[in-house]
Amino acid sequence: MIFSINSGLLDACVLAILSRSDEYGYRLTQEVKQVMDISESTLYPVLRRLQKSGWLTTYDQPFQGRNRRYYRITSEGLSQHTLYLSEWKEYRKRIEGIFGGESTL
Amino acid sequence: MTRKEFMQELRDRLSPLPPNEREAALSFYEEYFDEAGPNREQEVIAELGSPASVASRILADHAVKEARESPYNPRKGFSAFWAVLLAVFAAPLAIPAVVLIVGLMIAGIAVVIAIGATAIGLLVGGVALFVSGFFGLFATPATALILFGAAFLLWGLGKIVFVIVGAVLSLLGQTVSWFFDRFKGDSYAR
Repeated sequence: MIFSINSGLLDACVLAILSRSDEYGYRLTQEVKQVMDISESTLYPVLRRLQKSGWLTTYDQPFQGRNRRYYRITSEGLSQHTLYLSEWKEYRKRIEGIFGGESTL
Repeated sequence: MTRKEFMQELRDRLSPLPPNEREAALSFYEEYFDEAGPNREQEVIAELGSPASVASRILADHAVKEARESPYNPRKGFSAFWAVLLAVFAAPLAIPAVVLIVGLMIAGIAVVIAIGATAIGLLVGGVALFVSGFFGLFATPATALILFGAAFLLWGLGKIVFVIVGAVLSLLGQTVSWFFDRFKGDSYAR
C-alpha cells in the first residue's frame, strides 16, 4: 500500500468498526486488514491503548470451550469517534482540494 | 517454528511486563491462533513476524505509557541520601562554623550599635556644651567660645560617625541578603 497509516487513523478505524457492533480480536483484525496493510501484531497495542484511554471495554464470552474477548466501545469512545469523523472530513476536503486542482488558499 | 514455540518465546520476551499485562497480551495471541485454526498456524506465524518484533512493539507501547504516567525525577532518593550523609559527616566542622559565623555577626552588630550610641552621645554632648556655653556667654565669654567650638566639633564628629554607621549597616544588610540568596539558590538547584 502506497499510503501509510498513522496511529491516529488506526485508532479511528477501530473505533468506527466498534461503533457499529462489538467485535472480538480476530474479526476486528480481519476487518482492519481489509483497508490497511497491517500485521496482527500492531492491533494488540492499539486495542490496549484505546482501552487504557477509556474508549473501549472488554468482556469475555465462551465459545466452543474457550473464551472470546469482545471489545465494546464506551460513550467516551463514541464521542472520540465523532471527533475523528469530523477531523477526517476536514482532512479529506483539503486533500481532495489539492488532488482536484482547486486552490484552497 | 510452531505455535507453542512462538508463544513460549513471546512469554519470555514479555517478562519485563507486570504479570497481568503480560497475561492479557499472551491471551490475545492465543485467542488469535485459536480463531485462525490449526490449519492457518504457519500462516499466522508468518503474518505476526518474529516473537521479538511482536514483543518489542508491546514493550515499547508499555514503556511510553510508563514514561507518561511517572513524572521524571532524577536521582531523588540518591541525592536525599547523600545530603543526609554529608550533613552527618560535616556536623563536627559545620556546627562550629555556624556558631563562629553567628558569633561574628552578633559581634559586628554590637560594634555597630556601640558606634551608633557614640554618635548619639557626641551629638547630645555637643548640644549640652552649646547650651552651657550659651548660659556662660556673658559671665565668661572666653570659656563660652571654647565650649561653642567644642560643641561644633562634637556635632561634626557625630555626623561623620552617623554617616559611617549608616554605610556599614547597609553594607551588612546587603552581605546578609546576598549570603541567604546564594544559600537558597544552591538548595533549589539541588
